[in-house]
Amino acid sequence: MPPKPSLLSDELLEDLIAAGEVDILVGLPTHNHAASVAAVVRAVVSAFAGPFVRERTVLLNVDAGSTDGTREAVQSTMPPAELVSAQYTLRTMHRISVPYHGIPGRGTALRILLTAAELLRSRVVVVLDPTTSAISAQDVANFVDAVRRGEADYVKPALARTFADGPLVTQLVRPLFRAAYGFRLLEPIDTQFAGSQRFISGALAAEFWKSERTETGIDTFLTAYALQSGARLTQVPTAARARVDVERRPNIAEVFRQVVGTAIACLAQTYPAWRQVNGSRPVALIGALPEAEPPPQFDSTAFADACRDGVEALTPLLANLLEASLMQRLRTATHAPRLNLDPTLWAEIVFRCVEAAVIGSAPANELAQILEPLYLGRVATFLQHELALDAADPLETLAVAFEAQKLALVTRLEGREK
Amino acid sequence: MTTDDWYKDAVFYELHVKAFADSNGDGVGDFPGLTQRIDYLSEVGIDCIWLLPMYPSPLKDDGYDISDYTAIHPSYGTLDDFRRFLSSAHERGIRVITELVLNHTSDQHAWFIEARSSRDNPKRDYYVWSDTDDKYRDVRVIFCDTETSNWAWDPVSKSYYWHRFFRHQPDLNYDNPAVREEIWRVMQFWLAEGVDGFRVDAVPYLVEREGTSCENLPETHGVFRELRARLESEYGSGRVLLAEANMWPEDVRAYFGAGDEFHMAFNFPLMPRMFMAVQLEDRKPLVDILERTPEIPTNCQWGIFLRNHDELTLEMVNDIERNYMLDTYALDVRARVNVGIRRRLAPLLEGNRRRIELLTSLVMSLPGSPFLYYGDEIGMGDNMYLGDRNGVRTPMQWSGGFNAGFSQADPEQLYLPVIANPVFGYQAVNVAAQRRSPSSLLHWTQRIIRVRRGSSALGRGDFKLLEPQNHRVLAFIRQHESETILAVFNLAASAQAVGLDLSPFDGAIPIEMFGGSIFPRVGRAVYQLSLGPHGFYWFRLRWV
Repeated sequence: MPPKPSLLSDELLEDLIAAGEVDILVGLPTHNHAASVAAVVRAVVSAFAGPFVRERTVLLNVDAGSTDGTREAVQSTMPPAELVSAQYTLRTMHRISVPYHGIPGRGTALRILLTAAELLRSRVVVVLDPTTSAISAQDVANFVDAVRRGEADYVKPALARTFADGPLVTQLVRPLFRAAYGFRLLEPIDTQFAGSQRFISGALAAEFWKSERTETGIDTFLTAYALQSGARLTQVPTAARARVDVERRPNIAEVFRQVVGTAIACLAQTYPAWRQVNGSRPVALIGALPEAEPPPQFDSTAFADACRDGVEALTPLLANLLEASLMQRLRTATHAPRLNLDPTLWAEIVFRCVEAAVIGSAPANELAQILEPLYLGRVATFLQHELALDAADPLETLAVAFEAQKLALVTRLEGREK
Repeated sequence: MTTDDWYKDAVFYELHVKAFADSNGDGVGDFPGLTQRIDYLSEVGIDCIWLLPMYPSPLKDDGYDISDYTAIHPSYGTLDDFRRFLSSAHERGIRVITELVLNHTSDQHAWFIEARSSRDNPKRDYYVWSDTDDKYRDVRVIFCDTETSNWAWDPVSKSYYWHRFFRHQPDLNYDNPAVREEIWRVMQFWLAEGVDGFRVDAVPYLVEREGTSCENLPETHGVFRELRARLESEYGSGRVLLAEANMWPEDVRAYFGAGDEFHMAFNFPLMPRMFMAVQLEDRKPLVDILERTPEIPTNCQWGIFLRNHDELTLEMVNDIERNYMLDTYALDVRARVNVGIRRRLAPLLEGNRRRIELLTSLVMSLPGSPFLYYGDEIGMGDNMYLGDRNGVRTPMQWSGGFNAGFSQADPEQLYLPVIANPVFGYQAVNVAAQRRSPSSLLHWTQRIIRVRRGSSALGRGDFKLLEPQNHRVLAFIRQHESETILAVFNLAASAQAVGLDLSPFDGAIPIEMFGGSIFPRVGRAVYQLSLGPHGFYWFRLRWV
């Protein structure tokens, strides 16, 4: 029987042997990111030559077959010219860029990165997004330091958001993860993170790599793993945000399938772990959040219309999913002159979807499809009603509602088991 | 070994007569004692002794404050004792170079006593005077732990005098031709006695000019060209001038001139980088400085060393490197003095035999002639509780017996106490014990010197760095005439594999130089080697 193809190519293995044991590995998965990756590389190299000048470091770029010169940009980017004279390196700084073959998804890239980090016994692993053009050397250092000081196993970024910014995160993913796993992590599915050696080894041994969803939703699974594995968690403020090219941006349906579908599937798989979690606790934030960017403009009227249209079109599916009284409340909310998908209603519907996934009565993709128009209605409600109420933290009300509905779900499921 | 450029093949041994052996029981080493120990030096295999200052002196700077250039300090014996020592050394084929401290004298030197007595004294201009301390304002202070200025007030003549070192060491004025004549006469004196050359102390600082750093000035080079020319004119080309210039390699290069200034100069910046490389487990510091080291005239040679009588100087490193070295090798601040670390080789390397051997093998094979510091061949310890740099100048440890076999005086009389801790002290580390043990560091040092002597390439050869991917491995080629040496060093404490591009040497058979083992033939493909922790190979490449 022919040997299974290795995750690590001969070329990469040679480079890893040359690098040897390292203290800090910064991973950069790419695919046609030549336009933005240089800024990230510059920040990394500056961090290596600055606060980490005594550490053994490697920048590892795994590339899914870029055709725009991404790898060349990674290899050739130098520190900013004005810093060159001050950029002295005590040690050989390793910069590895290799292609990988097979499924060109983020899951494979991360698995290669984390496997390489484990082989090199790297004390700290940081994964950066190649589109974060605002990243600085200090951002990189902040990721590293929390782990390097032995204070954290898993570090996520904390982005400064206005209440209206990033509704997919603030209205759905964040409160969902908080309620399920009991941790108030601001950016559960951000593509950047740092991990300790212990965390990485544990994550590599986890079962979730077998899921097809890791190719697009690996960050969700990694965070879920972190939240249930007892890893020490921390968040570091950063202004460095992943940016998606307009040309690359998937449509909302695709986003829902990838993000929300994966989140629901992940929660379903990990239900035994989070069913016993009660309430939630804060996750340490090291440093102050930077100034928030101006929020994007949403057409809340269009969202509301899309919600109504969607509910109408998906009535048969919704009727199967929701009990009659809940379905009625949904109709009332969406038929009102001012659509009002309030926090409690929204949370209840979301957890009904989670429930369906847990018991296997509906596939996660279908549940994501159901939630998509409702999400638009939820965003419209938030923008039109709740923001204007001038509450100190309108998102907290939503989070509390999610936690309450999580308890209700667990009670229902335990009732079923009896 | 040819006569004229013998220094290119020589292994040098630095020692202080006061520290080596005491023959008369006064607690201070002397020339008769040193003479009695000449056979030991012959046994070690060294080719040239560099004697630290042996002249009359108040000894406020361990003899670098000279009060009489043409005599022997009475504590060390007489001029006849010195002659007997020199003769014994020469009989065994060992050359001797002595110190030429020409930048300054002691303030007890007759010249200075005269110069300060009056502004009109004929020797007034032997030194550099000023009515104010404003001149040469931005020139750095070298002994910054103890001095705050390069000017000192002389209450006798009521003016300031210039001193780049301690205030009791006034600088001589080389703008005065009379000073140059005096120094030449000093050189003639010792050359006539038969010394084989001079280690010239503090060469960059001879001449001062306003608006400069007062270091490495063209006029300073002019002084040395003149002395060199006179040396060769009168004594031929077998006597060596060795420069102590603690400068960047490109600045030291000037002291070789066109082969008409110094024969040799120490490569100071290389030294801390050997220590850095082995701690970082990364060849980068070494590669950086070796690539920066310029070509020198063919009749010239670098002097390379790990330790000497001074602190392990960290002047020729940048702030990042300096802080790294201090944090790594001198966490205890008592180990720090001036801009350096006052520890010996073995304690610096925590007695790690592999590391000691690795660094010694580097010094024996990198471009230059190696300088061993007395006692490092047995791994002597140090005493950082002693003041200044005295902790690395303690008595030689000959045996585990009374006073380490150095002296019959009462221990309280010794010029410095012997090292007595259980790890590096005389009971544990001494020549007698190591002579008896075939696996001792002493025997190993003797062996590596013998192996080195069997190669002309290691002393005279070209130098070409190889660049294997594994940064923990340093590898280079030395070539001279028909001889090619491949040297490979594992800087890491863990075993390493390395692939070397030896395609230019396609067809060669590597012969390991210590054991004579034959290694697989070199081909066009990458040559794979594995090395043990801190291991090294010297291969002679042979084509059969």
